[in-house]
Amino acid sequence: MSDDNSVPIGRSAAVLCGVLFLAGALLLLWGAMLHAPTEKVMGNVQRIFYFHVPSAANAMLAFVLAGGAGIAYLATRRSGWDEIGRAAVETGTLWATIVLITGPIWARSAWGTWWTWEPRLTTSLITWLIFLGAMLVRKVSHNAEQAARLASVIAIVGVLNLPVVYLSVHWWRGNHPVIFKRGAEGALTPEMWTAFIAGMIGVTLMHVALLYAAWRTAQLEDAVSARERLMEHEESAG
Amino acid sequence: MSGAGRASAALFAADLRRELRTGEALVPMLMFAMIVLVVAGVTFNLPEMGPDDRRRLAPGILWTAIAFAMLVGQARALLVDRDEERWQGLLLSPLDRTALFAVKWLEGLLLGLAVEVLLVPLTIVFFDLPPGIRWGQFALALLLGTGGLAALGTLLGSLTTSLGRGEAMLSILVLPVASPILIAGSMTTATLLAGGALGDASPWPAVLVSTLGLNLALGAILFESVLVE
Repeated sequence: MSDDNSVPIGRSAAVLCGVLFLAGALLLLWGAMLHAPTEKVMGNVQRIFYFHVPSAANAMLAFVLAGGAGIAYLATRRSGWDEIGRAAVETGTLWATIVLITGPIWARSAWGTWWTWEPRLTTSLITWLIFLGAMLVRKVSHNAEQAARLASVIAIVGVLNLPVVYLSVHWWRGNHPVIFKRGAEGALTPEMWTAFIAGMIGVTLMHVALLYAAWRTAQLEDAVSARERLMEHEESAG
Repeated sequence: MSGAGRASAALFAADLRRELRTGEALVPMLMFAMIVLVVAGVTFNLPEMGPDDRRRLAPGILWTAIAFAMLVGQARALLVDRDEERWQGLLLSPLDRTALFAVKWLEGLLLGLAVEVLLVPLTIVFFDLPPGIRWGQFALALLLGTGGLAALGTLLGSLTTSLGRGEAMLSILVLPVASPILIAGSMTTATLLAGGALGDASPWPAVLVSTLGLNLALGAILFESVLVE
């Protein structure tokens, strides 16, 4: 650790993050672009599926983590939980954004329209809006403590409402296309399953790397803020 | 009545008297709700629509008007509290935070119901809907949905008030989370307007009950965390 910085940069961890991200991206690309066969009806556009579904799963995972960190922060008021929550909201919003970009590309090819009120896409849009709200609250807060407290509340309210959002959107839209129906026409072939699992692992590895980087950034931001407050205090005292 | 009960009742009575005297939340809510109905009538070209189309459209417009009117009213009431520094007094008072949430929720609910007393007949007139529906069940659906919206509005309204922000910020935070209430409210109302009963609208009445319960519980638990300190 250097003398002028209380939080180490962690060069080896940064390198590991980069390696993890690259490995994940390569695994995803191998599965989606090389291993998976071209789907008969949709053609190459179907390959988005290997990126789209893992992105949605990782977004949900991040939001659940953000909700859990929010509960832990409000219970303990330890800034470490807020740093985890902040990182999780950021990465979750990123993956949800990818879902909302890749979903319409899929929809255009599969259903002939850029947007459809398909349950999963609609749930993703609502979830994305909820967590953008959490990021916005943090941005307009007056201080770090208030930002952590209020963003935690939004994350908890958002996460605990997610099952109701999910169920009501599914009930609202009635029947929807089922992708994972074993034995049915259009079900995934063994190669497609391998590509899907590779995509799932690949995106999760990328997510772990991004989450770590976002968490370290949050730690450094807090350390800089603490140092600035200390300097202001010293200046006003001196 | 216990000390907390008396304090809550006194606060509720004081807020109610203030609202009846000034109408600072209710008047903008009523105006806003009517404007939503008029804008919908004009933009959707209602005179050109058949009765079936109007009946399909009405529940969505009604719940949109209710949701936006409540956001306007609750944000207004909480901002007035803050600007007149009433919040400081409330926070310094020995009143339990959960009791404070309950009082503010009840006030939000009553404001919403007061708007609906005008809004529902107007919707029926503007959309030329059949008046012969199950009114008791219709009122129950409105009560459940409005209660859920009021719980979210009270919790998140206090949050945006502590940030010094108003309706726009509150809309951004409340409406995505409130989407199950709006879907369930519209679907239940649509069934009732079509001459059905609450049972025919399943599972939507259950969604209204569960969102009300969930958001009341969240509000009661989290309210202390959003108050201005």
